[in-house]
Order: sequence, then structure tokens, then C-alpha cells
Amino acid sequence: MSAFLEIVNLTQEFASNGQSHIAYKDVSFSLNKGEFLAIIGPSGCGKTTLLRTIGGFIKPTSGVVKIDGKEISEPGKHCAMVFQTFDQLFPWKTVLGNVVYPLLVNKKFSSKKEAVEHAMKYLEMVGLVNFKEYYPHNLSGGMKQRVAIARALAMEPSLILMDEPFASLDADTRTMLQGELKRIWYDSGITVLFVTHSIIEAIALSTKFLAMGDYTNSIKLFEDNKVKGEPGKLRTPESPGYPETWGMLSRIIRHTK
Amino acid sequence: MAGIKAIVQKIWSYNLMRYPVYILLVAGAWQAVFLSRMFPQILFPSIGQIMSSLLKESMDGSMLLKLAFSMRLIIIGMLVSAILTVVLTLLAMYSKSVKSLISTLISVFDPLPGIALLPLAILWAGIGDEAIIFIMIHSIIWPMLLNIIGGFNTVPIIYQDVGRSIGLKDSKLITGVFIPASIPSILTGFKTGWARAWRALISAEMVFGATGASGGLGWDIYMKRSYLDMPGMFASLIVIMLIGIVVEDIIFKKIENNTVKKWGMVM
Repeated sequence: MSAFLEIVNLTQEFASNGQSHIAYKDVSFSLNKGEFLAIIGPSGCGKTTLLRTIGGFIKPTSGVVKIDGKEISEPGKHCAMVFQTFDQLFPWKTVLGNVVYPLLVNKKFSSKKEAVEHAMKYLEMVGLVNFKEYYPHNLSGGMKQRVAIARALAMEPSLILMDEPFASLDADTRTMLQGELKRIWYDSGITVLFVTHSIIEAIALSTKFLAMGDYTNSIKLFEDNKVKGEPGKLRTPESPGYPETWGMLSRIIRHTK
Repeated sequence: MAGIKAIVQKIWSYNLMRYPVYILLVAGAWQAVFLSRMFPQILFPSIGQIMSSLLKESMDGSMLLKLAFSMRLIIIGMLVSAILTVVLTLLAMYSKSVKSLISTLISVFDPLPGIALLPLAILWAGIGDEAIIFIMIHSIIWPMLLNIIGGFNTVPIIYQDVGRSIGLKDSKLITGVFIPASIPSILTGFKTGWARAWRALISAEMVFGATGASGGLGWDIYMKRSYLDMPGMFASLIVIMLIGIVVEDIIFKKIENNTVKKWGMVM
């Protein structure tokens, strides 16, 4: 059986001021369905570029991205993306409108009524049913990110890509949303790729780590998260195996700087 | 007492409630000048004369006719300009060289007052509606293009990314993301276009509004000058000001409150 997500020899070069600059070279890995992969590494190591290439936003210089055996060349319904910025909701649509719109665009339902009912299920999942008629500018940052997550989940993609979605939130809200995300991931069995620069966040959420090195380097590490935890719950510093994993990851990330 | 004060303050906070008070103040000052005989009364009519002229022209339908004449021209001008703007904006979206050509045209023609083109318009289009519409389109189209192309150019990358990630492409990306994200600029474009067109229309009509038996408000003021109909001139000026208030302070404000203000896209 071939893996759900296959990345083969992915290389990304950028040209700037006539000089070519390598973001990463010959990245290869594969991932099974239902995994939660945390992509970590220092700033500028190409984490976001890798995620955007998997999403089809950037054409790789060479190499291929395959999802369920199909090569990805442009963004589309194969995956949904959640960004870091709070401005990722369309301000001209209500909370409900933002979640329903992609469903209508992709003609997932035969009637608007069905699409609305479907969207409401996901708003309920993120606890924002009471805010469905609000416009994004009246929501807090944390609520906006929850709507963005609901929008991505409602599309029922086979893969969800998250680019530091909680990085701009305050610590309490971040922990709460991490918990919600983990529970939703656990209940739905969806595959998640999650870019973060926080080791704590990576350990708390993921089933696997992918650590990236600095320029011109390939993958530094690709392995299972060995810290024990309760299913569907966040791992904490009290979880067995936490200090060892934390130490290992921080050594890798620091070393590459 | 405090209750009454609060109610007065509340009423005062609505713009529309302030207008009558201001208008009464100005009318009172006007009447005082009239009564003081500071100016010859034939050149400076009383409020009563102006109002009765306005009332008479409103009742016999002649004011409505002149208003309809001007509004018909401005609506044609706005519609044609809007269509041209949409076509040119789309062309600019698809081709970089068209975009730079349009930017050059904007920087050349935008500062050129429409009325300066009037002699040219008369020679090209003759004395009639066509020449006025030509001047109006010139007045509307450049600020409209400037705002709308500018709006499209500054649509945040994040909206474009989100649009693509939910599966929007090409024309669907334009209607689904670029147009709604540019609504603040589109509205500004229309507002500026309207204001310029209204001024151009009144000026152009003064020069040759009368084609056949009827003309618009600009022509009307000009004709009344010939007859030294001072109350009539002021009556027409009041109507022109009222149209400005209705369109700019009521219609556009209402549209803004129901769109960009409600969405938090402008303060």
C-alpha cells in the first residue's frame, strides 16, 4: 500500500537579485492517512515554503508532491489551508458566509440549505454558532482562527495544512485552541500538516516530527513523537518522555542556526 | 431637566436633524441682509421671493422637467463610464502593457478639466447631448479607473491565497475575491466620478444646454440670468445643492453604511 502523502526529491530555489537561493534540497518523506505532522525549524528554514508547495501554491523547482497517488500542481480541494494571519476571513462575509462560501464554490451540495446545515455542524464544533451572523471584524483573534479552522474542516479535505495558525494568539487562547484542534483531529481522523516554531506546540499536538535545517539543507529529522499522552488530549511537560524529546528537538533546532 | 438635555443631544447627534437648524440660521441672516438694503433688492431677493419661485416651479412641474433632463444625462454618463471602466480594468488585469498604457492615460488626462474639452466636444459631437456626455465621461472615467485599478492592485495577498485554496480560479477569483475586496475603492471611484460629473454637467449645460425646447438645471440658471430672474436663479441653485446633499450625504452614505462600514473595511 502506498502512503497517503508522498514527497519525492522536492527542491526549491528562488532567484533574487540575479542570485539563486536554495530554500531546501531533495526533501523526501511520506506520510500515512490520519497522521498529525509537526514541521519545525528555525525562521527562514523553508517550513512555510514547503507547506505552500504541498498546497500547490508554489511550483517546486524539481520533485513531486503526490496525494493519494495524484500529483499536485495547483491549489484546490485536495487540501485546505489555515494561515497564521487573522485577516484570512473575507471581511465582506459573515462568519457563516465564510464557512459556507467554499462549499458553494466547490458545489459540494445540491442546495444552499444543505451547505448551510453542513457549515453549522462545523461552527458548532468550534463553538461559534451564536456568532454566525457576525462579521469578522467584530470577532477576537482567537475566534477568527476558529472560524478559519471551521472553514477548512467543513470542506472535508483529505489533508489540512496549517501555517502557524496560533502563533499570533495569547498563551491562554493558544492552549485552548490547541486542545480543540487535537480533539477535532482525533474525532475526525483527518491528516494534518502543522508548521510551528514552538517545540512545546509540536510535542503537544503531533504524532510525527519533521525538523528542517537551515539553507541548502534537507530534512534534519523525521520521526514519531514518542512522548506518551492520552488519546485526543494535549501532551504536557508531565507526560512520560517529554524532557528527552524536548531536549532532542531543541538541540536540533539550535544546532542548525 | 437632565432628561430633556439628553434628548436634545441625541436629536442633535443625527446629521439630518442639524440641517434644518443650520438652514434656518442661514435663511435668517440672508433675510437680515435683504432687509438692510445693503444690496439692490433686485439683485438680492428675499427668502420669500426665492421660496415662492421654488414653490411655483415645483408645482407647475417645470423644475422637475429640468431636473429630469440633467439626471438623465448624468445617469447615461455614469453608466457608460462604469461599463468602460469595467472593460478597461479587466484588460488591465490580463495584460501588463495595457495596464501601463492606462496608467499613462490617467496621469495625462485626469488633471485636464472636462470643461477645457468643451470646444473640442462641440466640433466633434455637435451642440447636443452627445457633447455633454462626452465631457462627463472624461470627467468620470479617469478618477474611477484610478481608484478601481488601484483597489485591484492592493487586494491583500492573503485573500488571493484563501480564494485559490478554496478552489477559485481566473474569472471566479475576480468575482469572488478581487471585486468584493476592492469595494471600498470602487465606492470612492464612484463618489469622485459622480462629484466630477455633476460639476461638469452643470458647467457644460451653461454653454449649450438647450437642444430644442428643454434644458437642464445649468442651462436654466444661465437663461434666468438673461431675464434677471434672481429668485428663480437661487431656486435652481437650491435644487442643485439639494441633489448634492441627497446623493453624497444620503445615498452614498447609506451604501457605505450597509457595506464597507458594516464589514469593518473602512473606519
